[in-house]
Amino acid sequence: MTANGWFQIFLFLLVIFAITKPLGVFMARVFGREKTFLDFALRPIERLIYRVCGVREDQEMAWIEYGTAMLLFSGVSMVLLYLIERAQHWLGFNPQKFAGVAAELAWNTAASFTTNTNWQAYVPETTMSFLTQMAGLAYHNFASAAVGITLAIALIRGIARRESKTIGNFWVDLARAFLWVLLPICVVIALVFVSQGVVQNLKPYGSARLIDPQVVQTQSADGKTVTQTVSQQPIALGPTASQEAIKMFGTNGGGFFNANSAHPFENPTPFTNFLQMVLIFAVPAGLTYTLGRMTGAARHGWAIWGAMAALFLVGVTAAYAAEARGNPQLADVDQSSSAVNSGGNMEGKEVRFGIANSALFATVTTDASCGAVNSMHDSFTPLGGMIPLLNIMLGEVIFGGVGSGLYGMLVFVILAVFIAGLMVGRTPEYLGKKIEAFDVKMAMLSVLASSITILLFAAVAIVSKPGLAGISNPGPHGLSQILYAYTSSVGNNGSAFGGINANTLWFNTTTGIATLLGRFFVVIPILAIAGSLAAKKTAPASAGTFPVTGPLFATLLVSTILIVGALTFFPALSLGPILEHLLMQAGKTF
Amino acid sequence: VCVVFLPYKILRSASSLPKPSPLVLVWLACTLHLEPLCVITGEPEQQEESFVADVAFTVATLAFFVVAILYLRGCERLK
Repeated sequence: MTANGWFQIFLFLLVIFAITKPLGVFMARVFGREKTFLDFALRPIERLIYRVCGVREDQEMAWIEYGTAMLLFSGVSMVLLYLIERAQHWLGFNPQKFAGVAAELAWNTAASFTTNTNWQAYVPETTMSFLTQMAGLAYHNFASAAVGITLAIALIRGIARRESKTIGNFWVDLARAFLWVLLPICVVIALVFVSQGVVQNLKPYGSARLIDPQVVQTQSADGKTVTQTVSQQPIALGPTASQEAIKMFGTNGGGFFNANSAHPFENPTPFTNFLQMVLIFAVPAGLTYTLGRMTGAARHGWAIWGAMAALFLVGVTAAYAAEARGNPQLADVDQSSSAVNSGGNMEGKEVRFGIANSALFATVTTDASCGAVNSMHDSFTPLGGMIPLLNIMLGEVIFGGVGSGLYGMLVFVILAVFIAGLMVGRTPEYLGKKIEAFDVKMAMLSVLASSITILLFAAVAIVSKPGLAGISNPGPHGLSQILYAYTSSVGNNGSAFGGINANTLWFNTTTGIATLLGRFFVVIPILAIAGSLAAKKTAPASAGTFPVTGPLFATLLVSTILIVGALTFFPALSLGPILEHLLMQAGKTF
Repeated sequence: VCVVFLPYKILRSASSLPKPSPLVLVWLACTLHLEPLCVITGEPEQQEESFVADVAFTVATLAFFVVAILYLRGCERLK
């Protein structure tokens, strides 16, 4: 570990701290229908959208209407993306003349992008036309992120309102998330990316002459081996910068290129690398302040921010330490390449980013439900690779995805307050609302939905032929690959551990189902909590009220997250990365 | 079109979903009509497989969201 590495990690956290309040205030104003500096340009567009779509912006919805509207919007969006992918050879903006995407892959991708997962079982630059990338995938990057924000705002309203039957209007929240929060910032960021060298065009792919022509063997259609000399390399181009901005800001993570943020056309400079990480945490961090402001409990928002920051620091320290230490079997080899690359495990990492920025990126992308990668998680040391896996297993509540991070964290807040209430023998209260049996049942349903789906799918895959056919390493590392695939799908993260061949009928269908369950079966109980809390009276705080503002609350919250997450997944982790680490210490690798 | 609009009509009557303007309906109908077009490619056997797969995945998607709505109603009834 180097001082330079630590400086960058703390600078990153400092920048996140600095943008939390301004972004949080802005979002509170947007969703509170207060005036903002963008109203003059966006309000006419918003009114036009409502007129065209028949939305009555003054009409509020009960939680069940809100949830139905969200499901309907997601369902129709998913079917449309499926159709675009299947029909891309009929549509325009396809200079490489790609065929329609195979049915199961198109369905998996549609499910994945609708749920903000962006699991990519395909190679984008050889599969998707520009139209599919722009009108299908990039559109969903905006839509799924906007849906996440609306759900978080609905829950915040539920906490903030008293004796109310409604929690807002889904269509209005959706439009405002699109127009005010996501679009303006993404336009600016896309231009910044272009200035740094991220490509943005609609040209056919370029070609470069290889300095050293390669002799390769391929199989022809009739199964014969064909030997040929390759002297030209295609250079994939396309509308990357516009997709890159929302990919990070919407915590989507689906890359324009297969190498994702390790590709120099997606992430060309150290500045873009830093900016991309900041973009991942920007909205989730801002929403903690939005929560504090809209509920009138600013210190509560900061307490949640503090709990998230503490968990983030623990995770990044563990990942950085494991990667900097490297493989003990290479301890006698001097791996130092420069003053800033001080050795350690550099396999699967970009030399230009080094260990600190790779470990930091891996932690950030899995703390949030982003899934973009600038290094190969499969090549991390066992414990270094366990950190991204554990981050997703904890529910991606460490800042988390846009909206999903906050509503996931608020579920743990309810559980923490419930546990605190049991400890002191009082009815648990949260910001003046009594937490009753229904709220705790819904919170547990939300937590269990994701845990059961991960473990069930992983268990079936591990004992089934098609599941095992996808892994590339035997032993505990193979288990980690399968576990990571389903954890990433259910957690709507979308990052790949790598090393697993996920483009099979088995993985396309099971990970597709897992993404849908991980999104919708988790958020529905949360909306039920929002509706339940909104209908409640507010009781004034008394001497027995558990304060949700200080370090004690933050500690209890962190403990609840760790106990629920760690205990649920500890047996699986023991057989995967922990066992692999112990065997590596004994000299055996996989 | 029936598969999408019939449940939508039912859902609309049961909740306060917005009423789409004719423009949106025309656009949706046109987009959904791409479905039969996209299967008219490849060899006859591939066309058949492709058609079955498209129907299966579209129905599976709609079925999932119907189940999700039932789950939502179930959560309400739990109260």
